Amino acid sequence: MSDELLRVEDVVKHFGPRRERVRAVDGVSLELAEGQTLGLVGESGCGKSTLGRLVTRLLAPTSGRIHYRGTDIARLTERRLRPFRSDIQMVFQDPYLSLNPRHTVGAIIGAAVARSGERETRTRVRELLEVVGLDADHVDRYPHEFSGGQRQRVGIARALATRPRLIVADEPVSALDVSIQAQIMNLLQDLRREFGIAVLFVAHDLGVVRYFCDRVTVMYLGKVVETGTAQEIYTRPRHPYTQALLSAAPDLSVVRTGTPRPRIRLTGDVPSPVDPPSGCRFRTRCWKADDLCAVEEPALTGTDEHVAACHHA
Amino acid sequence: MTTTPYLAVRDLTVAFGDVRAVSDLSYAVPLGRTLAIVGESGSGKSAAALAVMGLHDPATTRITGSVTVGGAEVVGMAPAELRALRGSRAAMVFQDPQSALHPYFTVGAQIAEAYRAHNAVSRRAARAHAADVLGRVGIPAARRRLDDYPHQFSGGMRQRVMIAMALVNDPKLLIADEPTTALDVTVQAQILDLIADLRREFGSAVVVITHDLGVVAEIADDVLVMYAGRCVERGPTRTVLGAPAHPYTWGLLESIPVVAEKPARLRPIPGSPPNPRTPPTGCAFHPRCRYPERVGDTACRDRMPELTGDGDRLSRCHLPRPDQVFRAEVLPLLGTGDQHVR
Amino acid sequence: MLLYVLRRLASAVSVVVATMFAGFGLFFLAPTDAAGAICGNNCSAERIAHIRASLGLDEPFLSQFGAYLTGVLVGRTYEAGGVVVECSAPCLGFSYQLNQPVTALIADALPVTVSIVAGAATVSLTVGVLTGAFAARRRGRVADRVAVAAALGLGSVPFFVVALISALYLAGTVLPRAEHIPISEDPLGWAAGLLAPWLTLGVVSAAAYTRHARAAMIESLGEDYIRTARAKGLSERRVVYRHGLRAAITPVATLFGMDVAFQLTGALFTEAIFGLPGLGVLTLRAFAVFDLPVLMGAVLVGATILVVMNLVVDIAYTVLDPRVRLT
Repeated sequence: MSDELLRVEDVVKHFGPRRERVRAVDGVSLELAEGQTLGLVGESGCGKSTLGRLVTRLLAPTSGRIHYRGTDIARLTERRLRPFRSDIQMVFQDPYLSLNPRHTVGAIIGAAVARSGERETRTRVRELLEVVGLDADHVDRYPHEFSGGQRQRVGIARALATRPRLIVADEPVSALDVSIQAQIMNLLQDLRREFGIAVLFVAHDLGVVRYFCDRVTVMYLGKVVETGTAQEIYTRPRHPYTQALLSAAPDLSVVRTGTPRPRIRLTGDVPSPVDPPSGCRFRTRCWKADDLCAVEEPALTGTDEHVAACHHA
Repeated sequence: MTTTPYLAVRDLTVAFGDVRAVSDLSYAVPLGRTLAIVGESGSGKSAAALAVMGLHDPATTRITGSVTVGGAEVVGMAPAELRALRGSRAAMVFQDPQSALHPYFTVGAQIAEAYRAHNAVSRRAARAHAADVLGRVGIPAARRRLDDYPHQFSGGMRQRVMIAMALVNDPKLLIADEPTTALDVTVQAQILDLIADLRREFGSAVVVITHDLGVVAEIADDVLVMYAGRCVERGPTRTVLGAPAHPYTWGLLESIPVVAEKPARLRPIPGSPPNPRTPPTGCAFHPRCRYPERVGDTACRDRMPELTGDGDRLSRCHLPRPDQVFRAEVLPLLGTGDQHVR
Repeated sequence: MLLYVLRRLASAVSVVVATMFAGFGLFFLAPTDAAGAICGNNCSAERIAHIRASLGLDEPFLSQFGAYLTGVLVGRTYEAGGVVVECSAPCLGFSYQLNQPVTALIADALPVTVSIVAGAATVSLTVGVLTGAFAARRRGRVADRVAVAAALGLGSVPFFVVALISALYLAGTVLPRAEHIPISEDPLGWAAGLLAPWLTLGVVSAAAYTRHARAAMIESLGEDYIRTARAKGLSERRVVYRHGLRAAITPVATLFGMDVAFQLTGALFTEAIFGLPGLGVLTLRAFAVFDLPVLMGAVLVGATILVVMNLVVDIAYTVLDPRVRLT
C-alpha cells in the first residue's frame, strides 16, 4: 500500500492470570491507508474492541508491533506517545458514559483543543460544534442537557478537536435509536471525507459496516478469519464464519422475496477465549470442519483484495 | 381470522402521572400468529406490553381501555386472578436475560418455581418438568444443567432459559420484549428460529416487541409501528414493509443500511423523538416529517390524524395517496428499487 | 477453596502475631510501672527491683516478647509468692493481682461475651432485616416512615443511655434479671438471663441494619428479576420475601462483617451495665489496676475473634452469592 497509515503486525493481547488467561487478541495483523475506512466485525468476545483500544494505545499489547506512519507505537512510553495521541482519536459506544457529566461540553471539547496546542480555544470549540451539527451557542451546556444523538455528536467533536488522521470508532451508533443512527453515520461519513480522516470502524452491525467501510476485517475468537474489500466480503464471502454471519443478519429482503432465503444456522455459542479450540478456532461450530482443521491452524490466503483463513474455502 | 383473537387490546392508554406513555392503542392477535410492535425508545412499546401482563405498579400508573386475554379482561383484574393468568396463560420473555434471571437461584429452581406457582405438583415432578422444557428449548444435557446458576450460561443459553421459564406452563400468549437485542447476530438468529418453531408447535399467539425492522421481517405476520405512544401504522408485515403508508415508517426504512447492498446515502429522519412530557400538537411526527406542506394549511400541526384504512391495513397520516408518494419519492432512494416491491 | 482458606488462615495468624507484637510493645513502653502496680503504695525501691527481676521486667524487650510467645505456643512457668505455677499452652501470662493464669480468667469470661454478642447479633439481624424489608415494601407509606423514623431515633441515642434505662427499668421487671448461667448447665436459664442484654444491644444495632436492609431491599425490588418473578405469577409475598430479600441479604452480610468490632465494644458496655462477668468487665478491671497480662490477653482474644469473623463472612459470601469464587 503506497500511503500506508497504520500497520498492525501480529499483535497479541492477553488478560488475566496465567491459569485463566483470556486470549482477547491472539496474533492479528491489518493495514489501513490514509483516508481509508476499515470495518472490524465479529461477535462479542472476538477481540475487535480490544484491538481498537490497542491501536489507540489505551491498552498496551502483550506482543506485536503497531506501526503508525512508520513508527512502532506498541511500546512507547506515555510521554513519547503524546504526539500520537492527538493524531489517533477514539469515539466510544456510549455517549452517556464517555463524557464527564460535571463539565460543560465547551470545557470537554476545549480541553482536547488545548491539548493539541491550539490558541483560540473558544472560537475553535464553537467551530467544532457547528461542524458536527450542533448549535454553537450550546457551548456552556452540560452533557445531560443533550439527547443521545447530540451527545454522540459532542463525542465526535471532541475527537476532531486535535485534527486527527485516524479515528477509531468503537460501536459509535449501536447505543442510539435507528432514526438517530443514520444521522450519526452520515455525519461521520461527511467528516471523514471533508478532513481525509482514516477510520477503524468497530461494529457488530453488518449493515452499518457495509454502508461505511471500504474494507472489512472479520474476527473470530481473537483471530482474523477474513479480510477484503467490502464488495468482496459481502458478495463473495469465503470463510464459513463470514458466510454464517451474513446469513444470520436479519434482513428486510425476506419481505421482497416472500420466501426466506437459504440460511446457515450455526449451533452453539462462541467458545471461551480462555481455552480456544486447537487448530482452526471456528471448527467447533463449522459444518465443513474435518480432522485437518483440528490439528492445523489455517493461514490467511488469497489475493490482495481478499484473504481468508480456511482449509476449505 | 374468523375466531375471536386470543389477545385483544382496545383503546389502551397508559399514563405515569401526567405523562402518557401509550395512547388509544388497539390491536388483536389470534392464536398461531405473530405480531411485531416496532418503535424507538420512548415510543411506549414496552409500557404497552407490560400493561397486557398487568405488570405496572397500580399506585403510580393509570390504565384505561381494555385488554382481554382469552376473553378475560386484564385492566382492573383482581390481583389473585391476575397472578393466576401471569406465567400460565400469558407469559413474558424480557430483553436482558442477564438481569431478568435471579442471580442467586439455580435455573432449575427458577423454572420449577414458575411451574409450581400454577400446578399442585411435588418438587420432584416440577424438577423433572423443568428439565423437560430446558431440553425442548435446545439446552444440551438439560438435566445436568438444572443446578447451574444463570451466570454459568452464555448469553444465548440464558435467553433459552428465560424462554423455557416462559413456556413451562404452555402459555397461549407469549410476549417477547426485545428478546434478541442483547445477543450476538448468530445467536439472535437461533433465538428467532426457536420462537418461530415454538409458535408453530404450540399454536400460541406471539407478540414480539423490537426496534429492529430486520427482526420484524424475519418473524412477524403482522406489524404495528408505534411513535410517541400511538400506533401510526399497522398491517400485514409484507404490506407494511413493502409499501409503507406512513412517513415515519419510510424514514425508518431509509435509515437502515441493509446488508444486502450498499446504498449511496442514508436519508435519516431529522431531529429526535419527542419528549413524552411535552408532546407536539397535532400529529406527533409533524416536526420531523418532510410532508406537512404537501398536506396544505396547518392540518398536521393542528389535528391528530385518525387511524384509517381498509380492514387490517391502517395508518395515521393526513397525506393523501401515500402509496403514490412512496413509489415516486421514497422507493428510488432505497437502493435498487425492486427490493421493496411487493 | 481449601487453598484459599489455608492462605487466609496463614494471613490471620500473622495478623494476630503482629497485634501481639504491637500490643506488647505499647505496654512495654507505657509510662506506668507494672512492678509498682503489683507492689502497691508504700513500696520500697528494693522490693520493686526484686519484683521486676522475678517477673523478668528488667530484661530487654525482645527477650521478654520471646518468653511471652513461647508461653503462648508451648507454655511456661511463673513464680508467684514463692510458688512455681505451671502455665500450660496457650499461656497468656499470669495475673499477679488476681493470682491466676490469664488463660483461665479469659476462659471463664469469654463464654459470657460470646453469648451476649451471638444473641444480640441474632436479634439485630432478624429484627433489622425484617423491619427493613417490611419498610421497603411499603416505601413512602406510613409504615415505612414510622420504621425509618424509629431506626433513625434509636440509632442516634447513645447506646449506654438505652442500656442504662433497660438495666434499671426492664431487667428484673418486664424481663428476667440479667445473669449468666452457663448454657451447658441450663440452656433455658442461660437464655432467660441474657434476654435483657440481648434485646438491648440487639435492638439498638438493629437500627443500622434496618436502614441498610431497607436500602438493599429497595434496590433489589427495582431489579429486572423481580419483574420476572411477578410475570411468573408468584404471590407478592413470595416475590418480596424470597426473590427480593434473597438478594438484599448479601450487602447486609457485608455490614455485619464490618460490624463485629462494634458489637464487641457494645458487649463491653452491656456487661458493665448489666453486671455480667464477661471479657469486657475483665478488661475494664484490668485497665483500672493496670493488670498488663490480662489486658494483653484481652487484646489478643479480641484480635483473634475479629480475624476469624472476617474469614467466616468472606466464606459466607460464596454461600450467599454463587457468583463469588474465592481464589
